[in-house]
Amino acid sequence: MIDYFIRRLLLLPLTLFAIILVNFVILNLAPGEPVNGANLGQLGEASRHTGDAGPTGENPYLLFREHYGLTLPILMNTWPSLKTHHIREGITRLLHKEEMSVQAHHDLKTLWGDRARFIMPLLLQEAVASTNSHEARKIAAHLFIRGGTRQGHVGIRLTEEEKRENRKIGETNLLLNQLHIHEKDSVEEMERKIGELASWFKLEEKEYPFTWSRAEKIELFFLETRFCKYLKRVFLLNFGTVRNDNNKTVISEVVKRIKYSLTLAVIPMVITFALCQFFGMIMAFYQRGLPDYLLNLFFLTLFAIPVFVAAPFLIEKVALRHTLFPYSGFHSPEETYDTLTSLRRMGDIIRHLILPLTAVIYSTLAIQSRISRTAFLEALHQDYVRTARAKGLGWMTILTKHVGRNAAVTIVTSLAASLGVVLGGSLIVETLFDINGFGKFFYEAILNRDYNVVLFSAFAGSLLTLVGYFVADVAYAFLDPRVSYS
Amino acid sequence: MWKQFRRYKVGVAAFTCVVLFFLIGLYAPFFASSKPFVVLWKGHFYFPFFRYLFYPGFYTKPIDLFYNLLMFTFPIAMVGLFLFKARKRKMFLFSLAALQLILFAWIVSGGVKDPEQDEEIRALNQVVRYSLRKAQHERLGHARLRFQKETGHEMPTLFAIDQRNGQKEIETPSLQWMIPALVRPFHWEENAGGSQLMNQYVPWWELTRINRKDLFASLLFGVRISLFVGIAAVAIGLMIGIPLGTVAGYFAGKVDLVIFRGIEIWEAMPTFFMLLLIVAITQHKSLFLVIIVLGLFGWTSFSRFIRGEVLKQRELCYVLACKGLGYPARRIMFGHILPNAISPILTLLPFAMMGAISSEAALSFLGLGEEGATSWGVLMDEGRSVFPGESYLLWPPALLLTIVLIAIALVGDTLRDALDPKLR
Repeated sequence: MIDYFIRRLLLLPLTLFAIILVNFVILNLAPGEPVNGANLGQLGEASRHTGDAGPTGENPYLLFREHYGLTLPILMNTWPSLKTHHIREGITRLLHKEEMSVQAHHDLKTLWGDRARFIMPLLLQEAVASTNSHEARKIAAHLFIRGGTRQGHVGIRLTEEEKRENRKIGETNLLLNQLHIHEKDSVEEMERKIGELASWFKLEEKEYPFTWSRAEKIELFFLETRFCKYLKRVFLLNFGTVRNDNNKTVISEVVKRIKYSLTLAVIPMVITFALCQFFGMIMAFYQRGLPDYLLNLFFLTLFAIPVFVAAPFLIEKVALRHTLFPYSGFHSPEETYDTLTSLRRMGDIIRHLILPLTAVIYSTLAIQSRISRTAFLEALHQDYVRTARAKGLGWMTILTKHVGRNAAVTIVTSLAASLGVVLGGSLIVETLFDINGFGKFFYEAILNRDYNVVLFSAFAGSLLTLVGYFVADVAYAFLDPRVSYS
Repeated sequence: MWKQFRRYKVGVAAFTCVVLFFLIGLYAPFFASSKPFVVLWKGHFYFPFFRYLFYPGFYTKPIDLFYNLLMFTFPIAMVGLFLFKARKRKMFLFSLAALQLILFAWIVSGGVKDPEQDEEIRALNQVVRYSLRKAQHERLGHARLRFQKETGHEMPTLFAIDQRNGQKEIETPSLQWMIPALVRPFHWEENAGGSQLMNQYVPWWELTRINRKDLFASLLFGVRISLFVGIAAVAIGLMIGIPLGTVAGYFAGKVDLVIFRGIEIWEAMPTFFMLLLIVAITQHKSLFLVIIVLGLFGWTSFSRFIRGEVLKQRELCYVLACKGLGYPARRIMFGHILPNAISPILTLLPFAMMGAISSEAALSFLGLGEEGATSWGVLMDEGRSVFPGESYLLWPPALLLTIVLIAIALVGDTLRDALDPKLR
């Protein structure tokens, strides 16, 4: 058995890696341009920061791209080795806008913008060269500025060093941004701006890494890639900050909310376990009788009702008619809740939780009861039941003591394995019942286009499912000594 | 198998229900369309319904056009199933499917011209619209009176608005005779008038959505989306799951180990979360993306099942005989073992369909479904915006969705009982 667990544990990182990989692939599906205000979320939150796609400023999409390294090539970074003729070719293609579709042109612009950071000296060379056309020089200067513009460090608890760097980056960005060459600028103006760019470059050459040695290039080749950046983030558990507030990390926000979600995940499991044991027993005892048939049908129907139908039903038909069951929040508003005694608080929470719990429980209960019935039936056909019967034990004792204990093994296993499903279900329940848990957080992040939270949530969701499966296997092996995994 | 199935009354009833839903969804335009089937106008017969049936300007969703084609190919396929046997039947169905796809591609790429290019049709459309709106106006007579009494002004039906805007009285007598659509005289994508205020006075079948489209028509066309999602997602799942499961089961050993570990890993991805994640990251709300994702993350159970079956079958004599005859592995796997191993998978299909349908509806309910589609989830999402309080827009789609899901679940359960009576 130890063997089995070791193998299982070895499989865990592999699975984890696969999950990271899938997340990474999805991450790379991110659209190539900042979304505009045209497609708002349902509540319109997304419109707040978008629209301005300038090289600096609080552009959340660009921040997101920088944070997850989406401005880098996927697996191998050959950009530092780009030569002058590559750049000339690229600029020429960028100039011939009419030869390609708008989307293609935009993609090309993004690509060269992303590359700019690695080819700044060459870009400057192009911008300064008076043999080039004005348009080409403008583009080269623009790309040069894009390359020089960086995102500062984001997050809470920045060190002094990082703060200083941030200040410096801010200053540089401001300076570079002023040097953008506009459409209406005259030739002299352009020359002046390019000249300033060149002097800036000379000044900074020592501090900024503009050129790389061969060894450094090899290092960049592997490390400055999307996949490497993403892996690093995951291993450091650095999932970035919440979109609207750079002082809140995603993890701290989740930790704040996890107690609500855990309540909505663990309590249902306990209740489901007790209830489905009971129903399973009844159905197995009356196998093929009327109670069995009716309960079976009932649970099947219950199982088929989607949670987003049941939850509004509970809210409208129960909560709105009986003030006893409030339909929003985890407990009463802070003002009244804080004045209550501990006992009253508990009552308050229970009152608030009954409806959401019902909404979470009913479908798992339906499935588990049917599974439990099968488990009971299987156990009932064992020899030891006949022996117990022959000994003269009553059905009640046999069912609860002998059969129940054996049937429980199956249920514990399948319950543990349903951890991920419960989490998915509670997303809708939390949203509808206005409980500020993990699921609601995730949902709001989707509407807000808060990519960091969304990515973390999917990662955490997969991880929890995985843990559920693992716990299920371990529990099965411990509860049933006959199980041998070889 | 049908004989086994028939013994379960509930299952038969549920199956009938599902088939009924399918037929209603398939022939939805017959029930709700603003174009009448037959019009006798100025002494000539016109068939606007059929002229508009494949026009992408009228049915703007490709899925509707696909179903509109299927309205004709489906009965032909059924007839073919009765007429032909074995090889001929296969050929027939295959060519029919090819025809459907070719015609569909032709229609979507703009093969059908706008019927309104014809002056006659344009004039006729105006007359038909006028008379249908007038008919609605008159039909609502009772509700209009109540509306007038309680709010103090006239109910703004489409006809009343047209009148106020100074529409000329069109001479309807020229419209001698007309057979309109069976239930509702509105296409689901068209303005059907109405408002939240009006909704409080009209009977339920006259309700309109918040974007002033006909609710009943939208519900009918919603069947199409739900069933399409269910079938297409499961089909994708089968296409991935069956070959993988068969290969794993047949070769066993190392191949099996690798594939099975892969399945286990893939299973750990929570489908619904992944669906939300992909839609959120790509910012691409489309039905086809949803279907593909549901298929991609929903094949593992098929693989497991098939693998188990094939593992059992591969020890049997006929496989040994095939091997002895020197058949290639591919032929043994897919030509001999698979037909014997595939039937138990039938019991999984209804439940997989259920999962796909409810996932799509849940996603739309959360406001992440295809915009402008008439999926029941989208309708429920609209109902949610006035919830709780005025929930009359929420319950009709919720009820229909629940009925369909329960019916499919019952079919699945009965199927399992019928195929494997041991489990009962």
